[in-house]
Amino acid sequence: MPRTRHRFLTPRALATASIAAIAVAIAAAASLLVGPFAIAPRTLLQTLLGSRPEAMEAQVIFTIRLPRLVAACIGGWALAVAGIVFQALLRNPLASEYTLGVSSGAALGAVGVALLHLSSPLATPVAAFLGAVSTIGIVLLLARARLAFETNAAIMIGVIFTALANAALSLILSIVSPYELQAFFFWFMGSFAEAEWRTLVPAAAVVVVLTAVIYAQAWTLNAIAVDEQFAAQVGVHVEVAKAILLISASLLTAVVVSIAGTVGFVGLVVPHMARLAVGVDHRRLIPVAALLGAALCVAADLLARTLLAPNELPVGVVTAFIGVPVFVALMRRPSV
Amino acid sequence: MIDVRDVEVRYGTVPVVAQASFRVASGAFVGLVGANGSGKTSLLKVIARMILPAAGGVFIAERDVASYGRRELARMVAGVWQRTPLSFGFTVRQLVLLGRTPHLAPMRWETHADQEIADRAMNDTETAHLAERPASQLSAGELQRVFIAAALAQESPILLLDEPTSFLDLRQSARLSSLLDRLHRRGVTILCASHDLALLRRHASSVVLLSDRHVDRVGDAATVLSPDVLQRAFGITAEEWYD
Repeated sequence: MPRTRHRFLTPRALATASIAAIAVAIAAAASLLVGPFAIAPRTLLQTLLGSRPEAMEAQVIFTIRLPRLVAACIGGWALAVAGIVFQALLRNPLASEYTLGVSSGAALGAVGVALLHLSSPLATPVAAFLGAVSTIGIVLLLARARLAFETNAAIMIGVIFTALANAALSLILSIVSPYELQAFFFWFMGSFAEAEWRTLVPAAAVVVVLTAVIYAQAWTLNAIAVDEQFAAQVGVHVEVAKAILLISASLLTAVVVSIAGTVGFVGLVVPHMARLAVGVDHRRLIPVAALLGAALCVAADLLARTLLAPNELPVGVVTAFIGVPVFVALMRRPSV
Repeated sequence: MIDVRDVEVRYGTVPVVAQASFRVASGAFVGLVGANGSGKTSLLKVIARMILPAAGGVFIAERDVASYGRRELARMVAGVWQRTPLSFGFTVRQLVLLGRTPHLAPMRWETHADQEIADRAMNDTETAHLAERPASQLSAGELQRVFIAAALAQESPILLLDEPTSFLDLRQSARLSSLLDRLHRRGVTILCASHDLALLRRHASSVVLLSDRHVDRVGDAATVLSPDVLQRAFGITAEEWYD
């Protein structure tokens, strides 16, 4: 008889998910309360419940802080899920949308189309997606040219591509007008300050759908993360699954870049934190990482606008300052 | 059970296997030998439909493998392959349960029955005591048995093995050898590519010898694995052989 019955919902997974959800809630509450216009907790509750619709507080909460909070949640969630997909498909703990150049490619696409001054609201997200997909396509093709799917080569090419894309972005920034400079700078280091309901609602819908698509492949991700040949052996359509997953993860990245520019290190670090907490089974990993990513981005955004207030930092600066030390600490542990 | 008919494999324009034909009867243990680069692994991959032949075909249970769905084929053919190193902390139990993949309906995860089949596979391969250990911490021999356990959990009647004893020390390969013997007695059809001639002499009912990209001969183990046949196939002299 089996000694232990391996269960999907382990107490540890539930506890971690709960802690992550509580972290999101605390960071969210803090980010609604704190700012140049301080709001008392009691007032916040009354406002959220709709009892003071015309007050100044309602303006601040519903048009400034809440969209920003939602953007950070969506951004952190999407980047963490995309990071998990890239790491599993490449079987490489250094993979993420950031290190593979996907974020930079998306930003380059978005900036490129911004130069054209198109009026369609879809122009930015579509260009970001095309930038993201063509980047991952080029990076993987070049990597495949050196040994079949050499995953370290993919990271190397991704990092080099990021440098190239950043140079191209710098070039564009140096030739645009000062007025545009301000707007373009945000693609570089990321910011949730520009969030508007108009773009957030469709972005949230797309992120939810893509997360569902990826979650449906959780078992497949487990098999591919072991070895592609092994996955094929146990009946996985490896090429089809990889295409679906790469496109979904690139789309997630493009959505985040469209609403917030490039926010680095979230997709790199959060999957490791989640794996440390709940192990490698993607059925547990994806939801936990999504919540941790949201918590990290909301907290980082809060720091970005309060640390040097009234000046505001790009959120990408904060995630880098948090992400790099965390990553170094995690990499010192065996087998993350 | 397996019928390889005039299979030709090319990588780009480079021919790797030409006009290979042989049959593996149900319940047989067949060895596949040949020098490095003689196309052993390629032939196994064609049988598992991981690569497509440039010409010819493979029939399993009288059906062209090209006509099988991926999952359907995985229920017929399991395999243990050369692998890339493991990247993440998968436990032994998680790896073995992945062998149940072709039996799971989409979005329907493992049931109690699947758990029990995985437990049985771990017992059969003497890996049950390792169940909760991260697979990346195991020795080569233990890991090889874990992947055989995953293949057993697949419950496929055919088992393909690609160099199962490479990197194993004497004790570990003896253990693997007796495991293969048990599987063979249980009626699993085994096709095993190996340089381990002792292993094949002990178990194989017949041996397919590949040389110069062709099937050189097919016959019982004693004949095919005789020194003079192997000398020719591997291009060595009698002196080198007896050294």
